[in-house]
Amino acid sequence: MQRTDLTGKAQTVLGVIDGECLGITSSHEHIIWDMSAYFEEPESTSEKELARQPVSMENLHLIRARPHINIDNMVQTDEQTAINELMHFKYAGGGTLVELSQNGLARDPLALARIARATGLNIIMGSGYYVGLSHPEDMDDKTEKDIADEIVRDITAGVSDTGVRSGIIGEIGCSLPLTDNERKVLHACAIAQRRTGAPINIHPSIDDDVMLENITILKDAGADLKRVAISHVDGFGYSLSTRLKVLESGCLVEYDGFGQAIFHFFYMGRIANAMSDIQKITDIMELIDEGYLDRILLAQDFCFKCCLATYGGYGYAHIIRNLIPFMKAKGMTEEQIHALLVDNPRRFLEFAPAED
Amino acid sequence: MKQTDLAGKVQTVLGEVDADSLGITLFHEHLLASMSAWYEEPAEAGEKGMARQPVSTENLWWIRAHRPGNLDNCQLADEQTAIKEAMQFKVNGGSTIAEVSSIGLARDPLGLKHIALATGLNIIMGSGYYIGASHPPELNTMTEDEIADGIIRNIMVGAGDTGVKAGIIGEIGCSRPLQEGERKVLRASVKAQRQTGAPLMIHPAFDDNITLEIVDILGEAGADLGHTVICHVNVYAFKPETLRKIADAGCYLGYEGFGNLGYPHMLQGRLLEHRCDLDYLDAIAGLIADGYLDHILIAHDICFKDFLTVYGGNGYAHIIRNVMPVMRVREFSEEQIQAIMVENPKRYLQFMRPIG
Repeated sequence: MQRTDLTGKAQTVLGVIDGECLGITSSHEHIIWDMSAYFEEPESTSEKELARQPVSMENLHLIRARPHINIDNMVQTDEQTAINELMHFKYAGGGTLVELSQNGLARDPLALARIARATGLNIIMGSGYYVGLSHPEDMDDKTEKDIADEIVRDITAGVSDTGVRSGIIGEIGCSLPLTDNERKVLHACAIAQRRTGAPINIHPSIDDDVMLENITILKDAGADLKRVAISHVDGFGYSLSTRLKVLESGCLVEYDGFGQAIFHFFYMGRIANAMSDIQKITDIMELIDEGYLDRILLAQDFCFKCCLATYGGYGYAHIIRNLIPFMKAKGMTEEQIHALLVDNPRRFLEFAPAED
Repeated sequence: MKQTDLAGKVQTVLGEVDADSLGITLFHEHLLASMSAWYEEPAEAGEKGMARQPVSTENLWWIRAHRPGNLDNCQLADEQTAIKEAMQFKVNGGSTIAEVSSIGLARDPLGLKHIALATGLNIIMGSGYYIGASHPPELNTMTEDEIADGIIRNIMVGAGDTGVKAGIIGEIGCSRPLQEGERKVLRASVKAQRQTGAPLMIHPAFDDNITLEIVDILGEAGADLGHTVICHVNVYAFKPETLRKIADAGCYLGYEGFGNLGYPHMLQGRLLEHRCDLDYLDAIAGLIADGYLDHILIAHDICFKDFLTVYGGNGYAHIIRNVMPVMRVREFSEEQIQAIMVENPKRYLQFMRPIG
């Protein structure tokens, strides 16, 4: 395996670029994905009918209330739709999206490369494994080292024979409770991070204490927590004091559910997406007051069709178009907004020197 | 004018009913209305184009951040659509809708009667005048007494020659700053309330101090503040102490905006804070803890096309289908839910004895 020195660079699906070129960055998105593995077959006849309808203006109100109940809502496999959607982001001034549909979310490296060429946007692709439910059948047989090797290969040589390389490890899935295989993947991520200097993005367990333990596992396995982002700190019902503990551990916190409070749904016994955008901004301003401005990432994490502008959602430009004016109205400075949307993701996405 | 004794009754567009028959009630909705009083012509060509598009799945992302900037979105004008949408409320267990499109919002008495006949729902019609921007020119020269007489006639005889009687005074519109015509309508509304015993509904100014002044104006004119609701206390982001002052004066607090997919945007130079259902429920839980349960009324205030399920919105059944289950998760007791959905609107919407 030929190794280029990536230190200080970001790696997009079209190659290595200077961090300075990233511009406004959404730190956690899905552009083309298939989440139908998480479809929940409903019991009642009327809901079975709903489950198989295509997403349309007429059924959005039902689908938003239970986004996992409709198969079409969980699948976005059309490249042209993806391009149209991303152009909203580009027109609004966006530069880079981190696309975290890795194994388990039907990652599609060649499609991402085509979409990057068509839109002129920087797309950074993920690597590793999502939650246990999506693991491949032979996951029990894989060792920590096997998984670490796969991730390192994604980053240094490219995914299988596509030549398209990952620029981040994640989103790494953690369930509640954490499964043994998920623990193994966390160990493998730490190993792969040390070998590549790549950033790690964690989809944490939806429980305050178990999530903090996800972080301890990474730390004990030797991960550089300063290069680890914890996703969904806004959507998973954690307390503010838990977010502060995540920051104290050294990790970044990622508020990635902007625009999603329009649907809250029950997920593993908790109400997901319970925080409105206004609450998120208020919360972030408190963390900034505590001195954590440099440790916060923002994103929209669209993984349902109903989030897309084509299907009646706010679309990928939501943060830029709707949120920035509103952050200013709430008293955030230009410098703070620049840190959240440009400098923080740039620093996070630039590779650190490989350790071993 | 022949005066029937309405005390203890509720007056629907099909006639008087016992307050006990109201059941689950939405105290503030629109079924047939025009919100074009809020429309402002944009300056730029592209925006002018967006302003004139029909509402469709493809432009909801823009419309939801630019209400009321799309003309088609401002019109709830189709009876059949209204019937279909209102039926969703009925089949989910709802019984009564207060339709508070006053003069200025293109109130449609016969249309409402048709909807009541078609759906079997209790529909209560509004009266009086909306915000100054929608006042008819002749209002300038009308005296307080003439305006009051018009409202009383609406309640006792019916609107125009339709024979359809109003059951509520409102929503009475106020602006920031409060206009002379609006002050006159406020005082006239109080006169009409004193002479009829009807409930009074105020669309307040988007400003804490002006809203408290409005409550003073009503009180000084002799209104029954215990039979008055101040609306929009959540989207207008009134301070907690303002809410308590309004409630301590005796008024109900109107929490509309449940299921509203609109994005926070600037209105009259201030940020209109669409938050999310859970934020509203948390605020209401705080008021209940402070002893204000009997002052709480909730509704969707559907007033634009994009609220309707046929246009991708959440529709009139959202509170029953999606909010009431979340109230239970948030540990509202069945008695509290019953108070908010049935008992409070029943107490509010029934006529009192006229005080003259």
